[in-house]
Amino acid sequence: MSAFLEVEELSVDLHVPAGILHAVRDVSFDLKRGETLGLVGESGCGKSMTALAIMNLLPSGGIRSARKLIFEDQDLMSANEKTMASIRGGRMAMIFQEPMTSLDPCYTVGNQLVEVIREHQHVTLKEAGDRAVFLLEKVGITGSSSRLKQYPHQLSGGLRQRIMISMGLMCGPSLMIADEPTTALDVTIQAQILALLVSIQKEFNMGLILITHDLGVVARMADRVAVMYCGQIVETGDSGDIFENPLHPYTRGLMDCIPVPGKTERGQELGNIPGIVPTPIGDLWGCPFRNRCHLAAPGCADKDLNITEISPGRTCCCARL
Amino acid sequence: MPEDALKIVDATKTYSVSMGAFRGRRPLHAVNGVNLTVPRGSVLGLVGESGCGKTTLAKLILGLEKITSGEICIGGQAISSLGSKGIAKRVQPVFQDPYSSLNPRKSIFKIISLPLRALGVAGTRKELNARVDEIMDIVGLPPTLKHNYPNQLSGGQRQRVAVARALIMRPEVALCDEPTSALDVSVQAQILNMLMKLRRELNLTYVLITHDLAVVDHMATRVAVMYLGRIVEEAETGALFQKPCHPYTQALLKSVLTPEPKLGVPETHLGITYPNPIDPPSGCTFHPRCPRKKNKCTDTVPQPIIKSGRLVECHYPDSF
Repeated sequence: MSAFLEVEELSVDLHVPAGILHAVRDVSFDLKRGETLGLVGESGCGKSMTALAIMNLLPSGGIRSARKLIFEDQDLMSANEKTMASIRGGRMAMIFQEPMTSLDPCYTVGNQLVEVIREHQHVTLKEAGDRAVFLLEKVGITGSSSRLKQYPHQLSGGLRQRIMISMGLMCGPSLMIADEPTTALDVTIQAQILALLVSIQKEFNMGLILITHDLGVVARMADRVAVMYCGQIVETGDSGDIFENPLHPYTRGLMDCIPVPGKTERGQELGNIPGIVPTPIGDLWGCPFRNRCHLAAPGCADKDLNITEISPGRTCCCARL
Repeated sequence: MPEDALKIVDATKTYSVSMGAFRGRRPLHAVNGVNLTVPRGSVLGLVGESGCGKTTLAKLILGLEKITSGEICIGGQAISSLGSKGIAKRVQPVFQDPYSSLNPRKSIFKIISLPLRALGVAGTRKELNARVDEIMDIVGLPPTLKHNYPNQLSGGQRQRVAVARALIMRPEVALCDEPTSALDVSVQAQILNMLMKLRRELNLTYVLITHDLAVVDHMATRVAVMYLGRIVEEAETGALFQKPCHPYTQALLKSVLTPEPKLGVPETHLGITYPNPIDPPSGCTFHPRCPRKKNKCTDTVPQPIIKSGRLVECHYPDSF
């Protein structure tokens, strides 16, 4: 069977004044076409860097390495920039958190949509325009022909994000990476955008990597979940499994922190993860979570971290289980 | 001592907005006749989305904007009769962004002690030191941080500094505007726990402005839902979450994504019309997005229905 997306031991190092920052450490996961993977973690855990590494869009000074990085049978590690440029925006789309900064304020929406498809395919202006109208309607925007003439600043956040999504869809991607796609949006608009992503994914049979810090979003959207901490994946599994039975102390700690209407007792003290996230600079060993973990034992400091497969598709990186 | 820490009567704030060169100006009713009462020691959760006017209302309460009409009273005293110093003694803010709400060039000691010094109640150096130490201890900051600068502190620590600064004056009301939105989930829990503890220990009154309904459900005594400058529903927290009666409140609550995988993504039935405060719809301003809209909604403004400790502004609310 051909591999849709296979990531094995992907690492990203950044040169910073204090030394080498190991932003992503040996991250491995697979994605099937039509599946949604939720990559969840707090700020600085390396989830966005992972996405940028896959697309080879790392900041200058960033170095990636991987044992395997394969997308639709194509090795991305050895692909040159010309090949990557044709994949990005074409077969692989990415949408970001802040639609205002991703859209060029100087050009109309129509201009930017048409540019995407003309970069990748030989189509006339009219064909490109028709595809843009088709996609705007797909994402629920009415009066699309007049929308095409508008500038980003004339649109609301929710509308801009819909434009971003249609930009991603212009060339019919098989993989979409969405990095915090709804964090900047109002709660009711968020629900609509997420429902839109779900329907588009079904219709185009797209693989979706959903990157977020919001456990609620991940729970409702993802088929599979990977929890990241300090550059590493600490737990993976089916969404239902992870939320009903979190195994890693960090995952459990995160779940205890969140108030859930109807479940958490009102006014009750919320769960607490003491301490702060360490910065992964320089030589590292043992479990990155041990200084904050109530289960920590001396052994956690000197073991080489091993991802344990608890059952098929269910992994956890903890020496104490 | 008056029972109500904060009382807002028919507050309105209107801006005059230019529509472009030679196109004249139009009024923007950012806050449009808001009535709220917050009893001492309680927490009022004020929720609503972009453009609803909650931030403008916060500015009115803090005295940062002048009210166009109506009255706001803190501890029984009208804001209009108090100068900025008088308001600052009674109501203090905790803002959303701990990275921009602290002066990066001032030490933590200077930041926390500023309200006392600005209002001329600092006392001797020894007394000032003692008060700063006391409040830092209360919010869980080690006193050694006094001589540090904001960039040396984590986001959670900075937010604690912001809370210490707000509470050093022992104000009657602490107005928290999205106090944890910029923080990671684990840090958010620490700050919320601290805010809840302080409320009990110091008998504070909070106005908690946030879009995070789960936080409101957890912390607030009563909840007020704002839409385009008006309160469309107000009730005790448990009652509101159990049985929201206004269609907008229902859509809001349905949009809350709890970490329950089996539930999938909710359908809010709201359509994609976006509320525009400069050009509000006629009649009930919510009608273009309302799944229950009938003819009356387009031309008649709904009057507030007050019953059983709840307020709803809707022609066809659920029964309560």
